[in-house]
Amino acid sequence: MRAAFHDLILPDSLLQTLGCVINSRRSLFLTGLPGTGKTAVAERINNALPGAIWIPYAVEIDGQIIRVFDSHCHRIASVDDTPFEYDRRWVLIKRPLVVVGGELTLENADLTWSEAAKFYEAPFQMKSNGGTLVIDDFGRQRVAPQDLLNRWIVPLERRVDYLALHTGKKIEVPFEQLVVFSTNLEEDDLADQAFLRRMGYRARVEPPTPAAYSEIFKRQAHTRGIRYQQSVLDHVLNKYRVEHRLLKGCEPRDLLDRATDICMFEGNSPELTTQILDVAWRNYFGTSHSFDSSYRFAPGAADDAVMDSKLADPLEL
Amino acid sequence: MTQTTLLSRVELESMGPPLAEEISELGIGEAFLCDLALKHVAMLPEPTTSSVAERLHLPRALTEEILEKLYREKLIEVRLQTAIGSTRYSMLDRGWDRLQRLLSICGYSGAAPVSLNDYAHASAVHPFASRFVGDSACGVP
Repeated sequence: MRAAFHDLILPDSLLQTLGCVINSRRSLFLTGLPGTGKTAVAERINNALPGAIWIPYAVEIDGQIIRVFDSHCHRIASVDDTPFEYDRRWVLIKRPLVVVGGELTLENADLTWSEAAKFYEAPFQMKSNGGTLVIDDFGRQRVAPQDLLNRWIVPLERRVDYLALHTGKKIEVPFEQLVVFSTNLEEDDLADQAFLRRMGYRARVEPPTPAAYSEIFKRQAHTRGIRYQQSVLDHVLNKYRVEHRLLKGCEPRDLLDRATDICMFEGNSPELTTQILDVAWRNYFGTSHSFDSSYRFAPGAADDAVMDSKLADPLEL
Repeated sequence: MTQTTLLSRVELESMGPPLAEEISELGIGEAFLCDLALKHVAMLPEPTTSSVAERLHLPRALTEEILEKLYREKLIEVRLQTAIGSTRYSMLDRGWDRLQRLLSICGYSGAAPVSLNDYAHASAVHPFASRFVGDSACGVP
């Protein structure tokens, strides 16, 4: 568990819940404010699943083909893990992680029939069998949340899904994946108690404490090879306090990315000073760009405008 | 009385799905496999037993059986027969006619499929969490 989540700073209680989710195969309803790391948690759940799985390239039913293997979401396991002799209609893959977001509709949860190719493509949930299916940004799909939830009630309870062939025939396929619903909306607004009861586990990812934020910041800076003084980190935390901003787990990464952008633009090696941090902060949280009172237009300046520093002339922006 | 051996996930993974020795063990109708093999013969520039077997993801011996059936039905002909596995085939007119009809029904020309039953069975014997994850270092009771 620690290995799978090593790059995230999470409360021990949440790690324990996630361990129970993984072992029990029950689904997880993950809520929390934007930027608190829900998607990152959901993605790493899959890394904690042990072993690799065998899937077929394609399945046949009543003379119809359903293509299962998809190089976009299935990664073939190492040759070292593959036995010398086996039925090569199967392929050993790393546990698949399939993330669907706002684009999800009820239609793409069913078999896709290609009129040109004249065979079926397995739906995303079938491709996630043996791995993790993350329904990200739940509640932001075009389809009503209740309809989407109703679609999954039977598969979640019975571990089988029912898909329709274009002939009208219904087929039963395994539904053997860990399902994570991730949302930043309030769960009471999305699902009724009857559905939430079926979810298995519910967890809310809270914003980090200043200590947790500092640790995330240190790790992110270390990953990027950015040097900084403790005073800069204190300056960051102070800015949150002054501006009454909530700390978010994604923001050290985002601020450091912008600080790196500034260093690169100015041709310097990555370093974080309070001045660079202030610019990164402005660029990230947004600010108005106005001329200060000392700026004066020089006669003919527009004609002779040249870049005399590495920063762009505001007139050109 | 048969003796049943229960295998762990690690053993199952290390063994992989067992190799079929007979066409009947593939769980797919022979006619379906013949049709699929015909598509590969038509699409390969120089179809041989080995290259068709590679496309079908089937053992060479079983592929040879399937190709022999196509040959007996006068859908393909043998162009060249040298070493084992390098028998070269080409399509006959009857084969092209059959192919046209096949492609209007199903354009799939990949690996031989497995049956839905075998797929469901494999999911059942791959228990999702047979190897439990744990973390004594979590520090929670």
